Amino acid sequence: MNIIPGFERRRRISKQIAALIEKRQEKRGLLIAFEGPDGSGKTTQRKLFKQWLHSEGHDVTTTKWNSSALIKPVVKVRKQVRALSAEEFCLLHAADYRYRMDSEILPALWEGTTVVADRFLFTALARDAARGLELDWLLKVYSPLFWPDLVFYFSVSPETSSQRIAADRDPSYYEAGQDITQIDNPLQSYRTFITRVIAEYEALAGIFKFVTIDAEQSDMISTG
Amino acid sequence: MANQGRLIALEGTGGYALAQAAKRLQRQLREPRKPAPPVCTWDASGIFHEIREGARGIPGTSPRTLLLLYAADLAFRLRWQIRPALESGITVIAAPYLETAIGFGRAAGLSSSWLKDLLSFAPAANGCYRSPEGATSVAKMPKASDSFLEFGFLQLRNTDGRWNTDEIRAGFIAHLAGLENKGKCATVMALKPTK
Repeated sequence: MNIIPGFERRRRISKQIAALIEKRQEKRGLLIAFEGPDGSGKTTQRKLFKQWLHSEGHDVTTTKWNSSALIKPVVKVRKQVRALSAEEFCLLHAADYRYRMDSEILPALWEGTTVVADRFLFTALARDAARGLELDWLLKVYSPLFWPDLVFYFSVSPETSSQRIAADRDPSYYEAGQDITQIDNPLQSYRTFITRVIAEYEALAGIFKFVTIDAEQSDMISTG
Repeated sequence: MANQGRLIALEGTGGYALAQAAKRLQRQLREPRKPAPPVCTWDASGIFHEIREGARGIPGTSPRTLLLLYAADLAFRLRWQIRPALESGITVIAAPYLETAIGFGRAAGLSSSWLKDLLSFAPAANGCYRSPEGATSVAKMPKASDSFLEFGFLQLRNTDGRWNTDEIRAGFIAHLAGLENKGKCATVMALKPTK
């Protein structure tokens, strides 16, 4: 006797859905994130890693932080005119991230393509927490959370990151965290801000078991 | 220290109906010998305008992304319009405010806990009203340029086709009606036209 009406049917459908998800998971591509402060050499290593994956016959696509065609221009204009509060900075980057998740990253993963992310969720968590926002709220803003299969974290000291950035250029207003530090000199501000960002990264690296790479060596970065 | 002003939320589908309701509410809330309360409208930050201008040929967004954008715009409105008014002791009408976002998100299937967490940076309103959602002429229908809902529907129609915007609209109106039934908001009723 069927005690609960529709119970058997629901159980059958649940099994079918579970089987479909399992089948989908089998062919899902890997999501691999490259994280670390500016000047840590992660972009150089990400490019080399992508080349290696290609040479091994993998389908690979790259996604970069704050790069969606829809939202990036909005963020860019506001950064130029220094018009973003910490919350607005966070929410616009979260919108860009969600848009890329929906339109680029998840479709590629379900097609079996490996996605290499040049900065991912942890960039947001480290930078926004360094701007004084609560980690708990940030995790909710970025929900539902999709953890990468692998995170390479390029670890450098604040001094090394600052020196490498200074060798090339002055950091931009938000990159230097001048919205938070109120320090006029971009490089001085960068040194203060990146110290906070690195502290957040180091905490995340322990919690989320990043593969930490000592990026202090100069051969980690591009010479070209 | 000046008295804290009051924050009045006015929720609705947007466009002409919401603008008219805001005018009526301004008249209702106006104190003798004081200017009418300012109305803080959607997209004061210009985020949605810029996206609409630049979106041609680009796939649309999901409800969750739309709500993150709404929250970003709301953070801007709070920083530049709502909080300064409240701190000056001025009553301000936020049209729309939190329940428009929550109603849209709930109708699109998002969890109310996520929506409340997302918008937790915004203070609760001291009073909540909704615009009448009766039949209106085509010329007065909300447009994507003056309505978060219509902007959202335009985006959703430009995705993979899995969103039923009529259902979301009905769910949104049902959400506001539910609030009214629970006594949490009231419809702004028409006043006699002023000369």
